[in-house]
Amino acid sequence: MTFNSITFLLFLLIVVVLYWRLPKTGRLWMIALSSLVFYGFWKPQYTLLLIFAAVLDYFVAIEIDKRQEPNKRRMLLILSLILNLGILFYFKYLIFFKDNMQELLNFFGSYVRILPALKIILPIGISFYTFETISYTVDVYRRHIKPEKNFISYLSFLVYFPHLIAGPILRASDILPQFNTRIAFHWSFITEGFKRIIFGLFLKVVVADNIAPFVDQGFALENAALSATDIVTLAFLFGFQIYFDFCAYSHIAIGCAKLMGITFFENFNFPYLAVSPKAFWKRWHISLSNWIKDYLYIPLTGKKVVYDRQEAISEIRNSSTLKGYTALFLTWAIMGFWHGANWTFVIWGLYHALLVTIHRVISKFTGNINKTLLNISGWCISLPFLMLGWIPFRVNKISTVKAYAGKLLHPSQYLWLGMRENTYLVTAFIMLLTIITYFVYRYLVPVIANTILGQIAYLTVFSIMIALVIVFLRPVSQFIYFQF
Amino acid sequence: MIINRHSVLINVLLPLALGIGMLYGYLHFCRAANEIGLGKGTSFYMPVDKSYPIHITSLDTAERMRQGWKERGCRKLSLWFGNSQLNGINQYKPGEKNCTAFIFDSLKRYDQELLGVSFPNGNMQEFLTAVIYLSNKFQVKNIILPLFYDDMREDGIRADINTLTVGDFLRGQRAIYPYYKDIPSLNLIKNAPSAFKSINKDRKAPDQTLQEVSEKFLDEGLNAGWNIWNNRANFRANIFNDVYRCRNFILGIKATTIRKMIYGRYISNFNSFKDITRYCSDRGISLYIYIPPIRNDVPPPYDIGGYNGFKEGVRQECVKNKATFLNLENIVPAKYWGKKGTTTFGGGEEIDFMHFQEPGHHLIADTILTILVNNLH
Repeated sequence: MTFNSITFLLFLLIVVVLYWRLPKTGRLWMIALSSLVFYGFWKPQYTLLLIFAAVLDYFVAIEIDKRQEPNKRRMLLILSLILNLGILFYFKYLIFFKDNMQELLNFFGSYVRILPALKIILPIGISFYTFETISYTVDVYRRHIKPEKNFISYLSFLVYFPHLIAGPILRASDILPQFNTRIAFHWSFITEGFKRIIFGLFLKVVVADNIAPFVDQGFALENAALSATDIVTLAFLFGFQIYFDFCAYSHIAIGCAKLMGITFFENFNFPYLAVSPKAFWKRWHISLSNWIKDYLYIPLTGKKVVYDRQEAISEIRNSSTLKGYTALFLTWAIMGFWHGANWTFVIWGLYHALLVTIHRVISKFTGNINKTLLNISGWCISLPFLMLGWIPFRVNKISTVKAYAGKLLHPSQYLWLGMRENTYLVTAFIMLLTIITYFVYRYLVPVIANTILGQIAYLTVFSIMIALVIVFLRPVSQFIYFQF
Repeated sequence: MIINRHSVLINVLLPLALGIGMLYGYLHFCRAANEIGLGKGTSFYMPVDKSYPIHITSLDTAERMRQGWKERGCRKLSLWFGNSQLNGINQYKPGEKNCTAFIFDSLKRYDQELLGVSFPNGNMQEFLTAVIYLSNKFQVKNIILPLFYDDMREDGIRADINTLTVGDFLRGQRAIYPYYKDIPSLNLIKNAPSAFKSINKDRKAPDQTLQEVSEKFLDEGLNAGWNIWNNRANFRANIFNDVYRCRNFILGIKATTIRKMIYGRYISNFNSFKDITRYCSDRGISLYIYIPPIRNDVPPPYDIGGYNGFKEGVRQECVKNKATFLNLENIVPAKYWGKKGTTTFGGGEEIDFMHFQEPGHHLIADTILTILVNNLH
């Protein structure tokens, strides 16, 4: 079920009303069943995969907790990882792997077909729930949490519909305690949840979906028809599209959970106003960045994972060794590959690793510079490079990435324009609006929030948002992150 | 802040009521989506024959048009493609007809017929797609196609062309004809599954998931029972039009403002035009390309050098692929052109460079008819 549909809004209304009328156990059943219905609206048969993932890690985690012998605990963890990642590999990477192997064989002159043509449909959200179930088992293995004894609680955590398809990537330690408490109804859940859902829908159906045609048309043009300025513009536009689209999803997810009294962590924090590539990743898809850091990057550096976030961050700061950089690049390559089975995603990941590395090196020499000046110049330099990183993410061929890169490095390609004037106007307008929104949100809203003027402004803006959501609500395009 | 059921009233129900109220208020100012592009002063004319359309503006209705053609005996057919000039009549009066309707009536005596297909602001990639699709759906003898310098700036594939039906059909054709691989519009369809220019579409094509079934059911129910929901396409069109007017107001853009050619768009469109000539030549379809009428009492809103180069390029391409080239620029005299509602804020009227009055339709229809009749055998 997609959030930007009337079906979902009706479904949500029914679920929320029933949820608050049920006792604690009833609520858990309600969450589990409604989430399976939510998922089944796409392909009912794939709910079995979800249930399998839940059953597997529910029992494995209990077994790991029971055992004291490190080897047996490790074997159980490996079993879980092999099965979870095996399923992910089959659905997401087998075709890619097969095609690459075939090309390699062809390159060496062998035309033996290694596998017949495969037609595998990727279960939506598989990358997200696989990460969640892995983190649960790893946390039990690390003795960070105790395994959940109630299967319905665990199932509810894994399949909870607001985050099931595209995150935020939740941790069992954050969510299970909330599920296991009978939260008392409060009107603030309704108002806060409603606001977040409307705001998310506004970002998706009014903003992101209306940027999409510009992006699609631009990237569909032949290379010869695009100038370097066009490529930069398209990178910015796609950057905005994916941000508003994904941020919208997170807002709606947070809002839906809030309607049921469940709190999710924020997943975005004005990422395009980050003053460095490193700061960007603390503001963009925060739940994924944290997951990657805790379950991939720190283990790859060979350091012990400390469950105090501040300590974990300080360890990263001290990772400017060869091993640290190897871990950094490897982590980013995997993170890229997690997004999709294509070498372009790996390029995207490595590009970001390179940006972070360059930033680390440069920041060693910037200690004496005025902080405001450093922030402003950091933002001005980082933003275009961060945006250009979206090019390999958006195009699906390495040859296109190379062609675009060639143009970007050619000064004469900046002297002409190949797209309609509106494309540049829209890009500039969104950039300006993003900056204004940040300053209004940061400096104006806190001042006027509890005044009459603030209330009138809120009512006006929110009413217009609602009107626009009614007008533009149509499930004509999926959320971009559904494909990952 | 104390949050209680009253806060729900203020934070949820009041904005909801105000939002819906705004839409009811805006509804009074809304114009139909298909009229907005033409501007006040010009009307859409959609001729029909015994309830079957003989001129369409969307491929969604192509099948219905085909049924009419079959029922009339599958007569030798000419397809006349174009933009809104083809079916827009300036200062329309009841009883007037457009050029395709004139020719449809006149060709009856020759046991032939002509059907019209117009896409407002259509680009060559869309026309190429439509030419391939429709020439396989009908047995087409002649194709008539104007090349608007304006429209060489256009891009994108509208939703009705980018449907699964048309897209799948073209992908099949692509496998048969190797040179289709170079056709940009087919690449567009392949690479961009999201619906372009989809302001009139509320749903994707059904893909048989439970989501689609329930969405269709709920959408139809709301359309039937709530006029705000039923008018959403009009709301969207009006909102975009207001944004467009706002842009024109801020940047001082008027009808007479010179439109710069966009290199990338121009190349894509011209390549698609070349593909149309090549396709028709390969299929033995007679192709008539014309430079459309333009007002000659005021300077055109074009860069004249570019415009002349464009006309010469079109002529040369026609010669190369044995298409008939016609320059009909001056065929409609100044007196048959009118004005239309302004495209900026502040009211008033401005010159309409695109649409002429009914006598203009007569003149262009006579010219095309003469050519078709002369080439009957």
